[in-house]
Amino acid sequence: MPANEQTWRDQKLLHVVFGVTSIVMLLSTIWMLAKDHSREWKNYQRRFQRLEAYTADARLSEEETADYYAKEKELEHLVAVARSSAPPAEVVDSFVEEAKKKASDKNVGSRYTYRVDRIEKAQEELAKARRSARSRGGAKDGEEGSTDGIAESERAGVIERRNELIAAMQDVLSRAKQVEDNAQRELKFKRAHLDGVRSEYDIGVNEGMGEAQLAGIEDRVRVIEREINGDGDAVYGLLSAAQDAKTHREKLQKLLDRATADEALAQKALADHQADIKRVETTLAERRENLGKSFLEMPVVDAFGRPLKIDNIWLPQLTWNNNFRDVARFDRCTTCHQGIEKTAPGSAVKPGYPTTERIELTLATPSERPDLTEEQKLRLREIKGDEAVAEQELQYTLVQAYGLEIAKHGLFNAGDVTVTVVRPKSPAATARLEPGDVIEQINDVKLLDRSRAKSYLLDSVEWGKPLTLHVRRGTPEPYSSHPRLDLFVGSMSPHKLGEMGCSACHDGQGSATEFKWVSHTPNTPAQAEDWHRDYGWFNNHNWLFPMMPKRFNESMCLKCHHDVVELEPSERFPEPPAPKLVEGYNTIRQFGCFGCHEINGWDGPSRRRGPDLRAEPAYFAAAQSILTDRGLSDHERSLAEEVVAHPDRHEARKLLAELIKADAALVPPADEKAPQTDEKMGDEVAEQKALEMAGDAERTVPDQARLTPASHKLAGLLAADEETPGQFRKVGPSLRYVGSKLDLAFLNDWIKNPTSFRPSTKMPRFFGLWDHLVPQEKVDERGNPITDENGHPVMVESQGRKDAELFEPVEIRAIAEYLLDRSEPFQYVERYEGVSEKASAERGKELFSTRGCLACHQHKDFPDGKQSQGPDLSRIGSKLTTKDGQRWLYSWVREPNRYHARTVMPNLFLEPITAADGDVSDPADDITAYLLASQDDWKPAPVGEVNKGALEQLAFIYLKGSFTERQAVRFAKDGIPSDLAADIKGDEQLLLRADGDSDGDLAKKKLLYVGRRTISRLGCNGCHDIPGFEDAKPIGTGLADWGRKDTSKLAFEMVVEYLREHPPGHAHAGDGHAHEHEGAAKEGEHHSLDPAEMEPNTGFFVEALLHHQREGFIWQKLREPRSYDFKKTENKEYTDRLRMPKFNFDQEQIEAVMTFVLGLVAEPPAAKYVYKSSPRRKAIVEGEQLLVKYNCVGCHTVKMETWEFDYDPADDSFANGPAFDDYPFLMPHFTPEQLAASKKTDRRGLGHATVTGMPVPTTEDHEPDEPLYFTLWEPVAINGHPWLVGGPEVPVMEQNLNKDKIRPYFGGDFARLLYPRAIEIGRRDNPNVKPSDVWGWVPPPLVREGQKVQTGWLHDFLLNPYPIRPAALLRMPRFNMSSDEAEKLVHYFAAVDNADYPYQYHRPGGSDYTPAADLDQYEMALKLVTDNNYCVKCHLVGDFKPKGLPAALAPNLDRIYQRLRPGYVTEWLAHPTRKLPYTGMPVNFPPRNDPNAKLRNSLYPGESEDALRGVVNLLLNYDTYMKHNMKIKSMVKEPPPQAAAGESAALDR
Amino acid sequence: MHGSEATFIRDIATGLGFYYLLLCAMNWITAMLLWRKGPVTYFHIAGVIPFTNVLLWLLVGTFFFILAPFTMIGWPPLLPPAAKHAVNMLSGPVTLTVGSLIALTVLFVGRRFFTKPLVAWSGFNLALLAMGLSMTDPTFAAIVQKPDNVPIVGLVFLLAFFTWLASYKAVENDDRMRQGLPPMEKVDDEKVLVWPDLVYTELICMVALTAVLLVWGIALQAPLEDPASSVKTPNPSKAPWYFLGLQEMLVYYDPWYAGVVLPSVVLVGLMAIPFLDFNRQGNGYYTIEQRKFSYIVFQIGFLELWIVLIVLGTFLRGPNWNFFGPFEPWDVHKVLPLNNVDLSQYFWVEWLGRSMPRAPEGSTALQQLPYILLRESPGIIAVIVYLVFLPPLMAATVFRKFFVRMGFIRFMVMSNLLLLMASLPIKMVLRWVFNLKYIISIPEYFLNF
Repeated sequence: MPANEQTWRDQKLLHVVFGVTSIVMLLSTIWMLAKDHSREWKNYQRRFQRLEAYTADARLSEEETADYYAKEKELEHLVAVARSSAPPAEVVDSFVEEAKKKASDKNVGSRYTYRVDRIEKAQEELAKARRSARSRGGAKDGEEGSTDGIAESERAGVIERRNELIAAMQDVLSRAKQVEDNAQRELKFKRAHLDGVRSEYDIGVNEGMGEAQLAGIEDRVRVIEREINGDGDAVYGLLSAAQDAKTHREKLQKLLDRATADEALAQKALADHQADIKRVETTLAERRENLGKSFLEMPVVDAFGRPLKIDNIWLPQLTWNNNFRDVARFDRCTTCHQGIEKTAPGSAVKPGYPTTERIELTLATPSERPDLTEEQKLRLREIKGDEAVAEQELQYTLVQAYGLEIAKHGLFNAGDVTVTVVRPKSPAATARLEPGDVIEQINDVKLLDRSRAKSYLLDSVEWGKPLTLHVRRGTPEPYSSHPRLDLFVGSMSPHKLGEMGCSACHDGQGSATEFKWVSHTPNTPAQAEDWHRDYGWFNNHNWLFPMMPKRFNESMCLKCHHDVVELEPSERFPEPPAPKLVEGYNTIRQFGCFGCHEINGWDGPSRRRGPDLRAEPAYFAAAQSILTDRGLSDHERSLAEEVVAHPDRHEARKLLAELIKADAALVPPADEKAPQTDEKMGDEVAEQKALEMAGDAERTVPDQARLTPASHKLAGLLAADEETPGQFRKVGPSLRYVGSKLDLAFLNDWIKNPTSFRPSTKMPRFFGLWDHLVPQEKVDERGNPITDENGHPVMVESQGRKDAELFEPVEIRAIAEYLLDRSEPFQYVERYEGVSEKASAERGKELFSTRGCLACHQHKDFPDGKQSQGPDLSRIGSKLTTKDGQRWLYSWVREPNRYHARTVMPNLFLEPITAADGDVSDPADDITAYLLASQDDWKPAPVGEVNKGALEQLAFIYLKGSFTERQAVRFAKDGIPSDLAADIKGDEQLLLRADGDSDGDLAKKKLLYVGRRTISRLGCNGCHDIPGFEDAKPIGTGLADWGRKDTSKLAFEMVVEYLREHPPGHAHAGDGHAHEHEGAAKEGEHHSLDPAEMEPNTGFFVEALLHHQREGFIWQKLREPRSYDFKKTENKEYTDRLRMPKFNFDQEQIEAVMTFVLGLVAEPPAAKYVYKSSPRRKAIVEGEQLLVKYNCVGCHTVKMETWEFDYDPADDSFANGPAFDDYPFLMPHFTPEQLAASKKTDRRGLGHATVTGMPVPTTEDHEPDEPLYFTLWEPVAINGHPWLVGGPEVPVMEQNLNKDKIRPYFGGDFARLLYPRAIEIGRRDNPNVKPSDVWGWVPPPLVREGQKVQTGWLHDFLLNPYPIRPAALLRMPRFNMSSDEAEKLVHYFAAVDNADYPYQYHRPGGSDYTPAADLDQYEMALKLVTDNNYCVKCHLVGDFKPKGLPAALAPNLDRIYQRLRPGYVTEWLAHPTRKLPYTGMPVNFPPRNDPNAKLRNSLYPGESEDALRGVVNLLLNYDTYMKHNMKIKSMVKEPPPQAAAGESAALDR
Repeated sequence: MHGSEATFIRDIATGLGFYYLLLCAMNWITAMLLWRKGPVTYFHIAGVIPFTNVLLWLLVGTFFFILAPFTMIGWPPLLPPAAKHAVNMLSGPVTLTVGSLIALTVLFVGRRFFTKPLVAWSGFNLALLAMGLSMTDPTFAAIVQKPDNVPIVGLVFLLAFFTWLASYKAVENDDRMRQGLPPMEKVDDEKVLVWPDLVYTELICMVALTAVLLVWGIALQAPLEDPASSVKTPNPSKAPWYFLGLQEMLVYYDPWYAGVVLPSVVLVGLMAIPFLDFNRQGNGYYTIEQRKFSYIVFQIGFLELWIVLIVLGTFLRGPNWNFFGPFEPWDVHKVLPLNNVDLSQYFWVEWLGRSMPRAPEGSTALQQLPYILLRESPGIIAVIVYLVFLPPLMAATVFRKFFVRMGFIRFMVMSNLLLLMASLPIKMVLRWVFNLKYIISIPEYFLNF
């Protein structure tokens, strides 16, 4: 077909289609560009820049006050004055002289073509100008404030003259410089030349050049050298010339600097003054939006130097785990969080853009509407435009009335009423308003825009009546600064932004730059909802490290802070860095979670991966078990006893293990086939065994093993040497001798439900947790539900519930029986002899309250005691109802370690007390009597019959694991036939039948078997020491990396369904008694489970549970551990059910524990990031652990209270500060900077101070307008004056006290509890007792203990305390601590007080050799000491005891040299209250005006200080002195001369 | 998704509302085009009420128009739970494959009815409505809206459209040819110009396609999944969508067969078609009547054994490669027992009641071989019968004509390819009916069939 012009399609249509598609493509391309260009973070950056500009603007207008300008003007004037002054004539003269001298130098003078005459001329001109200016200005002197008498009109001329002079000098200087440079250059060239010639010579030598030629080169070298170095007077060397020129130029320079020094000084003062504002102005210029910036931000253009860009923090060593490899972190969080590290001006740690908060302030109003000042009115007239005038008038009026200004527009909302300026000392300042505050509401009126603010601040105001302002302060996210810049992000913090980034601590997707991809995690469902709405947030399951929600922020600290306690508040960070985490750690420690769930912080012997919470090796338990072996030799027995008492002594332990192993290697006794010594088969068997043993002893066959296989087995445990053994003691009491203490009824009841007896117990509940065992629909044979007449399904008890009801009582009983059966015989403590008084509960009660019991225990008789280290003893009498139990209690009170080797309960030294009338009473007996009388009508539930069928069934279930089903049935019924004994291992041995077992015996055996299996199953040994379980392992999941556990590995099972039926927050949820309350909630009733409708905290976790997150899982696990068995029990073996017990936790404790567990991620970062404490900090951390472990802080205060308060500097008390009269060495050292800083006042004109010490208790008639008083324990500078310890108390007005910032004391609750009681007791003997003295009778605060005592002494004292203060009501008990622990405590005290350790005692003024002069001094000092007006008035010295009540006595002085540090003793004697504010000890050696001067001088000639030093020297050399006075020679009878010459010689020396 | 169904509905409401508006516009435009350009058909509803197609689509459009605002304020029409349950039950692999086969047969047999524009458009509308209703189910929406799956949904609709288009034209041509007329394509076979008829059109297509790709790239973000981990593989682990048919085969066959042999055979078979084809009719125009055998084989092979398996693999296979109905949440904990048994075991243990032949302990590989062959002999025999004896039987019976026209070699190739293709559905049926695992199972050499 021929081609023609006809086309197939209509061309026009095609064009249209083409046009349309092209436009569509263009649009989509533009869309693509736009989408690519418009990134979320750019908006945040722009807004942040606006925020900064806004803030800078506000700061500028606040700083640019009239004061500022006045000062600036003054400084400018000073600059002008300096610039018009004549440089010191002698300086100029020296300058001229120097120049002239040089110019006339015969060697180099020709180079210096100085025009010195110009200087001289200019100097003259200047003098002239000044003279004339002064003569003219003189007439108006003082008028213009000119200080130098020069008229301002003439000043410019003078300055010009002076400039000329300086210029002339400059000129000379620059010439000098020129000459110097020339000389240097010449020298340099010549030297290069020299090097060239020298190398020529070297080459010549190498190439064998002739001698003559070489000599020629040598000559050339010498010539050049001479040119450089010169040759005496003949040749002036280049080197000399250069050095000379330099010296000369420097001299001139110095002189010129001196000539202009005053000007430079004045300029600097001016620049300093302007610096702040300059800085703000620069910021402002940078941040303001402008055209150029907008252009650079445009698409495509922004590829070249864009003003907005993504911030990257590259952390190559802080990697995250990307499964295949560790990947460097790129944190871009700061791209949006731009203000995160901004600090407030003038502070390195205060957030510059604090997080938003809402506060209520009271703003005082003037009595009437103020008028504008004349000046303001004048200025108003200068302004053009009505609007501008109105605006300015408003601001003036606001300033006049309140001292504040309001911005035209809010920053984030145009309508926000934002304060820009707050004038110092104005009503606004007094109300604590700050620039940047947004006033949201005045009284009851919400402010929507500024016009309303105007009307409610100025127009419709009741003048004179204060206004209530509701103020929003701070910056919204993401612009705000980190709230803890002292700890994080800030340049002074330990976690600097550039080094740590953000996501290492917060988790989340650090590289993302869009809100939803960052994996932010909301803290509540409501927040989730908001985020979803505002930012399209969603729960991104695919990112494995979602950000920690705010509530678990602290978890991640564990990554690097493996010891946790270092996160307690410290000197550097007094605000608790991670309170929730520490709380969680402590809760886990106290409740002993690690008993079942090992938290192994070690990944191999040397690689630490996280916190380490593991039970200590059971050495002591093994040793205790071995001690029951009758075959032990005496040596082995003593070793075992040592291991029990000191499991930390490895030598004894290993030796014992070796001895036992050696024994194990021998043949077992022939007549014992399968020895069963870890079992007791009733008394008969035991007796029989004893007989056999006796027989063995007679036979003594050496190659037969003496010990039982059980002991042999434990040798392995004893010998085990773990690289990093666990550190924690089991938290529950030992059950090794439980039969000596408790009876079956109590044990049964207690195991069933511990809270029934003791509601506050830490023991969790294992049984009766049946909430999840709900009734089921009844079904017919075909599995169809049966309905009642109304069509409702008929409900029946589920099988799970039936089983629980059937088996649990049997299990409880079996555990109790097993424990009692296995209980080892206990040696009760014998009562003291010679006690004349019978036990008295009344005396016991007083002793109980004063002897320190309340430092750890609670009792209902003493409701103020709140300590919970030990159990609540309110009902203890109802527990110990048997005779044995009562004997046990006495033993326990006297010697706790006898019953439980590893208890933390100390030995209280309850020794017999002899009363004044000679009656002797036994305090332990009294306390026992009191405790036994502490009871109510609580009675354990009666113990019923064991359900034989259920017991058999349980035994069967357990046996099924080891035998065939048919065997299991048989054995469960009849026990295991004895002929199988050889093949039976493990727990089943318990079921072996002996010949002649009665039915009762068999039933007992079954009980024991089931009991043992139940204990193993439930892991009772995790917390308790149970005989036969010495080497049992923890039963729970290890938690070391639980925080990263794959959620698909968590068995959520049907827990969501369970929650639908038992919604959290519902009346019965989790109380364990659901079924006992009729009608609480209908079973099977379904509730909607909408987290948004729940209480936010609950909602968060339910949401997490619905999303199958770890947070949800563990929350529910801690709340209702068994709920994960909901409906699962129907298809599970009874013994396969969940075992986790329910702990007595409240919501806060649950969250705290979660915070800790979620932080166990086992992702230790590179070593440089892991927290490594300085030795000092480490000592503090370790010590604090022990303080808590042994509850030292129950009695002793280790940190004093801290108050922050404001004061009026004009106030009498603060204007001048207290006066002190002390030795110079007692005065604290405050630097001038510290003193100046303490004078700083805020906008309100108030000063600010932080004091540490004890508040004086307020009396009942305390009036609100009277100040509170505060006793200082640390010196402090207030308002530029030092305030010392022991000086006047600091008065603090209550309204000025910053109550949020009070940091309470740490420790010493018991001392405070005892204090009022002690006053009462003291008044019995002495009605006039001073309350302050009473502090000396209670456990002392251990503040500054490290500076006070010697380390060696403290160590020994901790291990073996002795009474020090006769007045004290109780003495330091002896704790069961190791020497290592004592050392750690010693180091702690030294470290806390910055004292030296390890410490070498250095005796002042002496050594072993004591010069005679010193002895004389000691002699005199001893006279002072023993004078009735001095020491011995109160102090015991050696064998001397002053008369008077014990309460008035003071510590014996004979051990001072062992106990105290020399420096401390001196300071203490010089002024005791400077060290201990409450002490009753007077100042015996005042530096001046000593009333006893005469008496003192008669005893010890010299000044006060001499006497003071003398006494100190005596006390610290007490032993040497006494040794000197002690004559042994006279005591020794003359020996027969031939017998022992050597011995006596030795003694003599 | 628990507890947040209200949130879900709220989130999806606006989009769904627009979707209904789109359907409304689609129908209204159709009505307008029909009214303006025809053809307008007249019919009676229930035999009495006179109606036209224009009115019908106008009403359908109005129906969607009413739905849209209700949907937008959060009251979308929902699928009743019973219906969801029924769909879940019906979309099991057995019912899905068998059902789709029946559906294809029905469509094929009634193609004259189903290709009618009125019917097809109705079907299209119903499908879109079903889609809209289903979107209110969070599970369904989650699967369908997954950015990866959206194009597949589009592809399903496209495929349906093109299948319809081809059938429509074929039916039309068949009708014409029955009347002795040439097919439509022969009527209008003038040559056209390269420019502008070809190149200009291509240019427009290119521009349009680029625009579509851009919009697609902006609107549907690449999905983010778990970081790759060697210890935790994604569950389910899915192949790219176009391989999901193959992956589905893995359920029934050993990897070497389903992953290597079958795909190769498919490729080789496709290449062989031109050489096997002896039917000279149907070139250059759509027809079914003239190429019935090829048509049926292709449609079964493509639609049934490829597309249906892809749909199954994409939308209905969830965690652990378990089957999930379209409205059934993907619960990782679902466990389906797979108690499948090999043929040899059936034969020896179940039928003969004796133990399977096993070589004595310690025998060498060579010594084991006879035992293995004996053990698997029933399966081997079955396969031999299937592949060797069946083709002659076919040649002698139903495929007699083919054999005559193709000759021996071509017929044997064709029949074997056909049989191999058929082996897949056969194996599937055997698995479903008898829990048959492998016909030949030689795990010793990783050789299972």
